[in-house]
Amino acid sequence: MPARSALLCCAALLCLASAAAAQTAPRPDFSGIWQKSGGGPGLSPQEPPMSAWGREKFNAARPIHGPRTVSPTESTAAEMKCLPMGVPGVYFRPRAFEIVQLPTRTLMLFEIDHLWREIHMDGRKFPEVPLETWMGYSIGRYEGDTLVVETRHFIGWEENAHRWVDRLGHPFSGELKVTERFRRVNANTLENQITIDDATAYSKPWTATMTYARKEAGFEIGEFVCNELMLSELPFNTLKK
Amino acid sequence: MTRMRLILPAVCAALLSFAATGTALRAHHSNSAYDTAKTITIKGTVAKWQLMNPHSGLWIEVKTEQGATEVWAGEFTGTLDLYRKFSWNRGTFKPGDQITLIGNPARDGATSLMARKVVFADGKEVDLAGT
Repeated sequence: MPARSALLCCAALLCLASAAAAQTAPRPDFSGIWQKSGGGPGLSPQEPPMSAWGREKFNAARPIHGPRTVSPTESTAAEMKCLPMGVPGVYFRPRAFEIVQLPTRTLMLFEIDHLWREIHMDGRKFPEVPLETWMGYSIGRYEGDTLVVETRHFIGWEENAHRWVDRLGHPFSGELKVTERFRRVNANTLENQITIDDATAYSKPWTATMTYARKEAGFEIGEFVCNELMLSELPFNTLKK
Repeated sequence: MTRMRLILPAVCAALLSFAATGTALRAHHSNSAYDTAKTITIKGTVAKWQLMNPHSGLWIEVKTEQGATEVWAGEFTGTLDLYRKFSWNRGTFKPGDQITLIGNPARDGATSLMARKVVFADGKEVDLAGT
C-alpha cells in the first residue's frame, strides 16, 4: 500500500508539473515600443488586385500622400477627420505603439489618439453577432515564434468615412478580414506579414509586409489627441470645413 | 511690394540648407499646402501660441512699412515632437515676444508658412528639421 500511495503521489505531481509547464511555456516576446520603419505610404509595392468596387473607391480617394496627393482641405482621408484608420492603416500614422503581452490578451497601445487595441488570446471565437468598430475585433494565438492575429468586423466604407488600408487610398469594406503574422527579426526589428482578405474590395486576398523598429531606450508613449485640431485656428484645419 | 520687402526672399544659403533637408522634414505630414521649394523669413511679435495636435500654430504680427499689421500663422508639428526634441510647452512663446520664423510659404498665397526654423529674441536658433 505505501508503494501504491507513493506511485499515485508521483503521478499527481507529474500532472501538476506538466500543467504548470504548459502555462509557463516560453512565448515569443514582442513587448516594447515600436514604430513603422521604412516603406512608403502604400501597404504593398505592387498594385493590389482591386475589384471593380475597389477600383471605383480608389479612384474617388483623395489622399494626402503619394503620387495623387491633394491639399489637406480637399482630402477624403479618414485621418484628416482624426478618425481611427483601422488595421493596418493605424500603423501608417507616424507615431509609436506599445505591445503589452498578458496571459489572455495582447494589448497594443497607440500613441495616436491614445487608442488601444485588444487582441484576445484566450481561445475564443469571433462573436456571432458582432459590433462593427473602427479597429475591428481581434483574436490572436502563438504559432512557435510568431504571433498570429485575425481581425474582423470593422466599420466599413461609408460615403462620409472613407476607409483605406494604407495612405494611398486603397479601400476596404465591412467584409475585411486581416491576418497579421508578427515575428521578431532581431532584438530591435519586428516584422508583420499582413494578409488583406476583402472580397468586396479585392478580387483575391493579398499579402504585404511591414517592418517596425524598436524605439530608443527610455522612450515613453505620450498623449496625442488628433481631435485637438477642432480647437486649432490654423488655416488648414480640416475639421472646420 | 511692401510685403515683399518685409518678407525677405530666402538667400541662397538658406535655400541650399533647406533644400538639403526639406523633403525629409515632416515626412509624415503632407506638405502639399506649402511650397517646399521656397523659403521665406518672417519677423514680428507673437500674438498667440497654440501648442496642440496634430499641428501647433504660432501667430505673429508683422508691421508693414505703412504701419499696418499683418498676421502670419506658422505651422509646427504636434505637442509630443516639440516637447521631446526641444522641451517646448505652452509657455514657450508668449504674446509680445519678438520672433523670427523661417519656413515654406502657403501655396495659395495666404499669410501662413510651415515653420522650419525659429530664432528667438536672444538669438537662440531652433532648427525644426526632423520634427
